[in-house]
Amino acid sequence: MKYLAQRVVAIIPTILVVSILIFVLMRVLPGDVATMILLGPDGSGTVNPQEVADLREKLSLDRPLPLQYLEWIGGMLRLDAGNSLWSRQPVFSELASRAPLTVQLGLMSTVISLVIALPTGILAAVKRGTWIDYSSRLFAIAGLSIPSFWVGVLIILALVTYFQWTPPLGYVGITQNPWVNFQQLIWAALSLGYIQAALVSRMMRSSLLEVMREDYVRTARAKGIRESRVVLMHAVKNAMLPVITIIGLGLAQIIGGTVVIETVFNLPGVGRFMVDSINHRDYPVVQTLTFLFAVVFATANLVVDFFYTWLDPRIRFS
Amino acid sequence: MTAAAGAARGAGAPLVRRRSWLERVGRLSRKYPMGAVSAVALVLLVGIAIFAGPVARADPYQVGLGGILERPSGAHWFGTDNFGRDAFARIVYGARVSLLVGTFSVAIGTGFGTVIGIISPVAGRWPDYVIQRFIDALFAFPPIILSIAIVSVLGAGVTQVTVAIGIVSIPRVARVVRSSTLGVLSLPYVEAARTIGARMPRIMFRHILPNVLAPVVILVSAGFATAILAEASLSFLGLGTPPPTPSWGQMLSGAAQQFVRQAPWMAVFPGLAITLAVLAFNLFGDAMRDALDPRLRGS
Repeated sequence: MKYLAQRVVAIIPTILVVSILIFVLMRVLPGDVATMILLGPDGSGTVNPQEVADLREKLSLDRPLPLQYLEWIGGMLRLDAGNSLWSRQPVFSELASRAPLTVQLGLMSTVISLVIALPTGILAAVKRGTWIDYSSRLFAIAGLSIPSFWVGVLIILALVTYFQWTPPLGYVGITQNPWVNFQQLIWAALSLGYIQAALVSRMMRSSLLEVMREDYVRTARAKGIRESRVVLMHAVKNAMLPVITIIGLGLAQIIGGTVVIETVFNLPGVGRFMVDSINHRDYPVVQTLTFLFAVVFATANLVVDFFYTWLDPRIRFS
Repeated sequence: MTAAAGAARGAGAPLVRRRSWLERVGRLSRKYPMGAVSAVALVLLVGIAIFAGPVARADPYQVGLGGILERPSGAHWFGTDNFGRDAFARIVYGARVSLLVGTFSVAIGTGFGTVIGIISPVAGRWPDYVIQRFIDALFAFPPIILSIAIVSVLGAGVTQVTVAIGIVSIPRVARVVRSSTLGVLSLPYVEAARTIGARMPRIMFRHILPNVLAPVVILVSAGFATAILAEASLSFLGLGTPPPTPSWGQMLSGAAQQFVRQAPWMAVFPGLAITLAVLAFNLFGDAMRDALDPRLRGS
């Protein structure tokens, strides 16, 4: 418990530095933010000094920097990041309508990746040196090299060619119609999950190979326990620790991947929101979303840490 | 080296014959076949990028070379796009963008990362603490999110993308170099250098640097793979290389999806190019890691 409490406390300074980094980054824009927003993406808009002054005031750009920072971070804590400059809606209410899709996509991708990676990784280790091992490793190294958005594009290509599939126009929430919702998300989740699966499968294999050489595995075999039980109950459990670490690291791929894959499949999630906001030069939204992505990633890693301690009593009690 | 070997041979029978580099390459290739295959692929890739003009046989910007959305043929190996541009030429020239972004972003990442990684533990407790918190913070971002945020500030363009990807790759190098530096700092030769009165910069760059570079070399190849993927992702999102400059990621966005039914080749070849290039760098990196650091073999 003490260890976990320490871990929770330890992310606070990190998050603070993250927030400062983002804040500073968004202030080093070449040129005046207000002018750039008003000029529009292609620089064709018209600007008069009064408008610039009004926008600067609205964005609090006329205040001292430390005050601007405190105002922003205070807003984050109150879940109030002001309004989007584009839609004029509160940023957090826009987020609330988009977050469920992205969270669901992330979870589905993670589940898919584990369903693929754990069996293939374990099989590759157990059947080391056979065609199962080689094909599983080939699949893993390919997964590390294929961009997720290309997997997405290829899936669309296959669906269009063989199933006369047409991209859905409107997004259907999971509460409205779970089956349609599943059909809309599954391909995106597969594209992301495959990449993550490659990472995890590789680690599962090498970690299990290492554990299979341990004394306790020999002891278990000597006791006459069935091989399948030795592998699944004795070896895999101990091989899981590095695998869980890599799952945590891979979450960065999944969280970041949603941005790209939502664009491929035209899903109105948080990632798409981020890309749209950049195209609209909606800097307050970009600032907030970047921060939230980092917070979610840090929190996700914390959850991974919880699993870690749960699996390994040595960490819990040391 | 060769002259010396020749002189030695001339003087009489040498005790140990020095292996020519060709022999050494041959031995290494037999030991690491995947490394050899990927090295050949990388040489090809660099060759294609340098000699893009003669290889491409067509102008990648020329609109209406054939019909639009023409299927692959002898005249247009990878077909033509929705503007009638030759897709093969665009992919060949796209290799230039990928490798340029890769080279300079890896240079930024390894350069700054190495310097930060060496200075941080040497600078004292507090500077080290502060620098490490910044490194932690950079690690707290999913990499693609951080590069998107940086590009959103700098604007789209090859230079901007290179800088963004370079910055994002700094923390990994910095962390690896820092931990190696910590290991080296207490070794006798560093102490000896200190005792004879060498100043800190000299110790850092003459004594520590050469001894912490091996893991960095391994990161370089993986860094290229990551950078090419990142550039492709950013360009795919419309935040990277701006059109009409040919870039693999950008070729997969927009029109490739819009015309996926009529012209599937538009969606296939650029992705294949990205995958093969990244795969080659990944395999080469793996082989190099095996060769340089036998402890990690097979992991």
